[in-house]
Amino acid sequence: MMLLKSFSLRCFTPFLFFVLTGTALVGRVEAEELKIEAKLIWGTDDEKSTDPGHKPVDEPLAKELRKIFKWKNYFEINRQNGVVPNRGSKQFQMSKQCTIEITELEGPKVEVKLIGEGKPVNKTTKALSRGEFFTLGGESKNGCAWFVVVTQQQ
Amino acid sequence: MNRDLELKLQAYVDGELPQREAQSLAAWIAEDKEARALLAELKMAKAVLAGNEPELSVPESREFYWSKISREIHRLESAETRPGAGLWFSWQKYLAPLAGVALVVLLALGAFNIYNARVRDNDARHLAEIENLSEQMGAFSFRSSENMFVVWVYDKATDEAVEPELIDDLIIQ
Repeated sequence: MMLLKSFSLRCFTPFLFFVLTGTALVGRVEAEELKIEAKLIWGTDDEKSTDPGHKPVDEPLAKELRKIFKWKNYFEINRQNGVVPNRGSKQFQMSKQCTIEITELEGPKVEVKLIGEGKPVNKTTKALSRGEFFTLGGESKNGCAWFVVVTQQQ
Repeated sequence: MNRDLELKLQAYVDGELPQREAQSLAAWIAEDKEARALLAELKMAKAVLAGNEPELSVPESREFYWSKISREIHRLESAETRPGAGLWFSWQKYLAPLAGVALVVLLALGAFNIYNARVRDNDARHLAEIENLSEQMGAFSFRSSENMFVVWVYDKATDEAVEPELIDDLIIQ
């Protein structure tokens, strides 16, 4: 019985410490680095891209884009994968003219900055969840459109 | 006979009184019958005890045996001089149930915290803060479905006049 009491006393303090520490950490586990995939997409009514190297985007994304926009076909121009560090930033160069900078923020949220020809154009701050398409887009002068689709990878 | 005289008689029997006091006490005993009776009784008890006192031997040496006693005395004295220690030991029996209650409370708080964070995140998913960093460019956002959030960027010089219609022009749904 004495041994049991002694054991419970010895274990009590570290046990309580671990419980308190674990509980305190519960609210902190959300902070993490983000695995990001960014695609530069070209929207057009043409059946084929001007560059034969450009492949049509995968069908689920194309379907989502067709639901919203007027263009019939969507071609993937470039794809970048990278890791945005916790509370840090990373730039993804999508083309010579287009760069996006993603910053992981408290919340968890992301800040996506669109940089066109070296100049900041737009900054969007929002929560980004897995499976969600965060799309930046604009119309180009030839009646086509560009899109940068950002997704968080598993 | 009072208590002091009885103790003096005991001291007299044990030979612990100074000689002068022993002599005066002997004179008093000779005159007092009750004192004589008590003296005889004390002497008899002393003789009985002296003849029948058991002699015990310990396996350890005398010094080692005394050191054990000394350590025990020291331990008890130090325990008495620490009032906080007594309080701590009296709380021991409550520690186990208190730990259990604390654990349940902490788990409940943790679960509540996680639930709140999920609700908050779900609400936050639909909110976005958009800032135009270029004077020439404008932007608006919309959510087309649960999984598609769009920020549409346009050139103010060419599109501003038709901005209200832009969505209709762009969006076929």
